Amino acid sequence: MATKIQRRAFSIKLKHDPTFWACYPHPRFPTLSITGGECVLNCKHCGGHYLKHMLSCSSPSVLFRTCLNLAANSARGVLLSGGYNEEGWVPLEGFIDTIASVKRETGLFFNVHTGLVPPSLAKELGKAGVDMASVDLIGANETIEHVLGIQRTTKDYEQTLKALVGSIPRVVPHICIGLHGGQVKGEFRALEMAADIDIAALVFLVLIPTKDTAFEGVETPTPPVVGELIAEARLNFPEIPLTLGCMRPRSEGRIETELQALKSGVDRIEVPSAETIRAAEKMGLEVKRLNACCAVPAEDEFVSSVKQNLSPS
Amino acid sequence: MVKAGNYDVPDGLYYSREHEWVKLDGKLARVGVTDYAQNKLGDVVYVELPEVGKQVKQVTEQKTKEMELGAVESIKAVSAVYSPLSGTIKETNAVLQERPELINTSPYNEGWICVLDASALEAELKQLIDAKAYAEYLKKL
Repeated sequence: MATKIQRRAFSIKLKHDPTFWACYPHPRFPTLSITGGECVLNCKHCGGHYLKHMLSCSSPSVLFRTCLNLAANSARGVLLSGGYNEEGWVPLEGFIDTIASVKRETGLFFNVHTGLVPPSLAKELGKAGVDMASVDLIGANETIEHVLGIQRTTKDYEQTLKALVGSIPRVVPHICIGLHGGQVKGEFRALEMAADIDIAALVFLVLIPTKDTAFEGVETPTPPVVGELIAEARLNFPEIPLTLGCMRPRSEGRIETELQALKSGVDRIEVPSAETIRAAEKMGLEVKRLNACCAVPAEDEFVSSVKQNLSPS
Repeated sequence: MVKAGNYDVPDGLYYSREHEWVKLDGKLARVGVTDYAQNKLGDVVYVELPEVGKQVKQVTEQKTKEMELGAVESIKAVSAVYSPLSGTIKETNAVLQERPELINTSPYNEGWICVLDASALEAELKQLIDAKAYAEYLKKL
């Protein structure tokens, strides 16, 4: 049953854009790590775990060769990621010229995970031709300290967002619901922080209690909590694409979380369940497939409008 | 054990070109996905298992739903698992519902997906390849 706020949120969604995007990055939009499996911070929610299965490109020459090879094999874009340095940003400094070269040679769409990059690096990334910056947004100082273990504040996140917005065409904050060991702390504040900035989309993630990390075994936020936050975002960002991203639990509560997101007016879900796609159709949404990360703009090169292409890749 | 680059390819199993392995015990075939497949998938976060009693057909180039054993979902992908043999599902690895990561950590042992009662074993085995041939196949990918 939808809550009152969800009903309002969904009516805004229907009025603005009755399309639901099912997003599948594989195989056209692979993820690369410029630090291989290494992360200096080893934050409590990840511990470097999710770097392990990214394509390792820990030197500019490997990044260049890998991107050319991917482009020759049907990739349309890449998510360029990596572990954080001790200051809390992905150390992209040595890769600027390579990104520019790959852009010139291939035209690949670059979505870059930045972290708390300084303004000078944000500018360099923009000059190199980066198309989109994906940046975590944390709305509570105690969460930054408790989870990342660094002495930075929400002000640093605001300044980074502003620097990125001034340098890169699309900036997409990612809010991880339950990042504080499963508790909701600064998520609503993070929405307020994003409201002051010209963002291209807003991605919601849900804490995964990953094995062998400090948060293994913690309770994740319940589906209604996820729904409440997305509905609040829909009311505050009626025209900005809202997405439920790939980093979310997929076992217990997965379908209910996706349905709550739908009821709250979410525009996109990365790798949604078949049940969710059926529910979206029943709710009057037109379902389309995006062959890219969920925050990438729905431009022709990434879109399949053919219905049979909604089946798994 | 045969190695193909960084990937393990144990002897004594049969392999499909869709990267499933088969371990035979008479007509009963235990099935899973290979080390190569799990590596390409990345972190497995969900496994859709077939229903016990379901009848499946051996995978061919023209893939259909009847050839699907289920699906393996990673952070950024969902891939169908195709049946390397025709038959009836006898047992599934329910542990994967709670611990899908076993596909990554133990693809040939704890990460098995199902056991099927093969209905055309003799004829269909010819479509599968042994460890040495599968390792060679991987080197060409």
